[in-house]
Amino acid sequence: MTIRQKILGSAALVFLATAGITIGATLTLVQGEYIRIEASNVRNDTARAVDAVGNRIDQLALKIPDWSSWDDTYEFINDHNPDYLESNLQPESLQSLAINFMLFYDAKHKLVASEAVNIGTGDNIAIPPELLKALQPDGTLLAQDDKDAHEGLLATSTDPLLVATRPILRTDNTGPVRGTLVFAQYFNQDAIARLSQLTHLDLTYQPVKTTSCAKGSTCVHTVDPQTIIGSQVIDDIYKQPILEAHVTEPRTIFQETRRTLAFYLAVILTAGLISLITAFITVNQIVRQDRIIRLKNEFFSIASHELRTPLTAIRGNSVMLMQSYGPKNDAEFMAATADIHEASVRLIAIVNDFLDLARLERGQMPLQVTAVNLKDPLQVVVKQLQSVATSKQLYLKSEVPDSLPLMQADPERIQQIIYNLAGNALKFTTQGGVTIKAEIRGHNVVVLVADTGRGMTPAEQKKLFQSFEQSREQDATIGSGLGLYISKLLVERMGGGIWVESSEPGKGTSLAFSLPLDLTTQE
Amino acid sequence: MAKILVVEDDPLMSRMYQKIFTFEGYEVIMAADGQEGLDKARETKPTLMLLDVMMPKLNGLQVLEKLKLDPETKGIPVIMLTNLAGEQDAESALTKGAIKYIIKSEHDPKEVADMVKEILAGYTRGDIPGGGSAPAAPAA
Repeated sequence: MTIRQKILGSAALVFLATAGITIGATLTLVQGEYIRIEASNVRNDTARAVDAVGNRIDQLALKIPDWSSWDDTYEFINDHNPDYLESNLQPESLQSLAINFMLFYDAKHKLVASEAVNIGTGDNIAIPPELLKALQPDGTLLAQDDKDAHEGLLATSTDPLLVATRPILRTDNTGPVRGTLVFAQYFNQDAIARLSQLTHLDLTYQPVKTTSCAKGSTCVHTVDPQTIIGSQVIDDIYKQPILEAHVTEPRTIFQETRRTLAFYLAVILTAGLISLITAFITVNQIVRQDRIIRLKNEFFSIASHELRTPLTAIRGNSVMLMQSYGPKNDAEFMAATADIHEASVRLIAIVNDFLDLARLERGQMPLQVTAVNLKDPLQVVVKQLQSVATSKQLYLKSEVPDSLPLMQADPERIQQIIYNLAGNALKFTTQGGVTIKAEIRGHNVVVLVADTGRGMTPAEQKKLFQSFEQSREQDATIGSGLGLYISKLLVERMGGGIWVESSEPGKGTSLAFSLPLDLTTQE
Repeated sequence: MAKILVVEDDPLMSRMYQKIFTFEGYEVIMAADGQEGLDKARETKPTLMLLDVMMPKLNGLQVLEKLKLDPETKGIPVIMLTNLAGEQDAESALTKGAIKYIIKSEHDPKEVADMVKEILAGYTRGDIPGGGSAPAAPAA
C-alpha cells in the first residue's frame, strides 16, 4: 500500500464516517422531530374532526328549546289540537330547521305526533325503526324530569342520526314535565361534506371496527411517504363507540423535511468530494515533491561517491608530483600542479558537503556522541584556518575559559561546524578578525563566532541557514554554499540550535550555536 | 625487499598506489579483482596487502575470509581500502582479521605509504596486532 493510498484511504474513511454519523444524527434528530410535529398536527386535526361532530349535535340541541319550552306545545301534548299541527308541523318547518325528524312524546312516553321529511325535497320519509326503538317507554332518552335532556349519535341501518331530546315545559321553563320533544337529523355524506368544508380537513367517518383506535385516544397511521391518517373513535348517545373519524392529510412537513435533508446531504457530499479531490491533489503534489527530494538526495549521494574516486586520484597524483616526482626546478610546472591540487581539494570539499547533505537529509548521518571538551576541536580548527587568516592579515583567536564544562556531541562534527562558521566569517571579513567564544546558558554550551566583517541585513540573515544560499556579491570561490546549512542540520541532530546572535551592516556578525552540556560529568 | 599486494579494481587508484609504493622502494604486485588478489596472495606470499572492499567477482570481505582460513596466507597483514559507502563493511572487516581500514578519499598516497611503513616496522618487531585494532583516525 503506497503512502498515497494510505492517506487518501484514511481521508475517505474519515469523511464517510463523519458523513454517516451526520446523516444518521440528522435523520434521527431532525427528521424524528419533524415526524413528531407532523403527528401532533394530525392529532389536533383529528380532535377538530371529532369536535366538529359534537358541534353539530350542540347546534341541533340548541334548536329544540324554542319548541319544547313553549306554552303552545305544552298545551298540544294535552289537547292534541290539530291546529297546532297544522300551523307548526309542516315539512317546511323541518326544512328551515334543517332537521329530518321531529317527534312529540307525552309524559307517558307515548308518541303523540311526528313529522319526517327529506330536507332537500320536503318529501315525507320513513322514521327509521332504530330511532323509534330508542324512544320506547323503557328507554332512557325520554324525559323523566325537567332537567332530563339527551343528545348524541344514534346508529341506524343507513346513516347515523344526530339526536337531541328535551323535556316539554311551559315557555317559562316550568313544569311539570308534560312529555319529550325529539329532534333528529341524518349525519349523511352531505353533512360530512359540509363539515369538511368548514374545517378544511379531508374527513371521513367510518363504522367502528375491531382494529380501531382505543377509546378516548387518537391514533396516527402513516400510509406512505405522501399520506398520513389520524383517527379517533366517536361515542354514540349511550357512550358506546359508533363511528371512527378519519382525517387524511398530505405529509407536507415530512416531504419538506426530506427535500431540505436531501439538499443538506448533497451539500455535505459535495463538500466532502471537493475536500477529497483537494486532498488527492495535495497528496499527489507532496508525494511528487517528496520523490523529487529523494531522487535529488540519491543523485547527490551516487554522484558524489562516483566523483570522489577520480578526484582522489587527481589529488593523490598532484601531491605526488609536488612532493616526489615533479621536476623541482620547473617553477611553472610546479605552480600548475599546485593549482590542480588546490582545485581537487576544493572539489573534494564540495563533494563532501553534498554527501553530508544527502546523508543528513535522509537522516543517515552516523554520529559518535561523547563527552567533548570544546577546546580540542577548537584547537584543530584554529590551526587549520590560521593560514587563511594570516594570508588576509586577520586575527583568529579563541577565548574559551578553561573552566568550560564538557558537552555532549560528536567531536568531529563540532570541528566541522566551527570550521564552517569560522571559515565563513573569515571569508567575509577584510579588516579585524574572528573571535570564538563560549559560555553556559541553561543546560547548554553556547559557542559564539564573532567577526568584524560587513554584517548582514535582516533579509540576508533570514536566508543564512538555508541550503545553497551564499552572498553572491562576495567572493564565493570557496565552498558549496552548503556549509551553514549543513552546520544547522548537524547541530539540530545533536540536540542543539544555531542562530544569528547579532549582526548589523558595517559592524560585523556574531553567529551562535548551542549544544547540550554533558550532565554525566557534572556534579 | 617487502612485497606489497594491491588488490584494487579501479586502475586510477591502483596505479597511484603502485607509483607511491614503487617510489618508496617496495616491490608492488597488482590485482584487479578479488579472485586475482586471492590467487596472487597464495602465489607470491606478500609482506602486506591493501585490499579494496568493493570489487567484482569476490569482494574484499570474501577475499579476507578466505585468506584467514588458509594457514598459508592467514599471517599476511591486510589493510582494507574503502570509500565512504563501504565504511561499515570495512569496520566489520576488522573483526575478521584486517588490521586497519583506510578511507581512500581521506588520505594522500604519501600518508598511506607512511601508514604501511609504520605497520611494517611493527611487523618486523613482531607486534603486528592480530586484528580488531582501532581504525585509523580519519583525517581532519
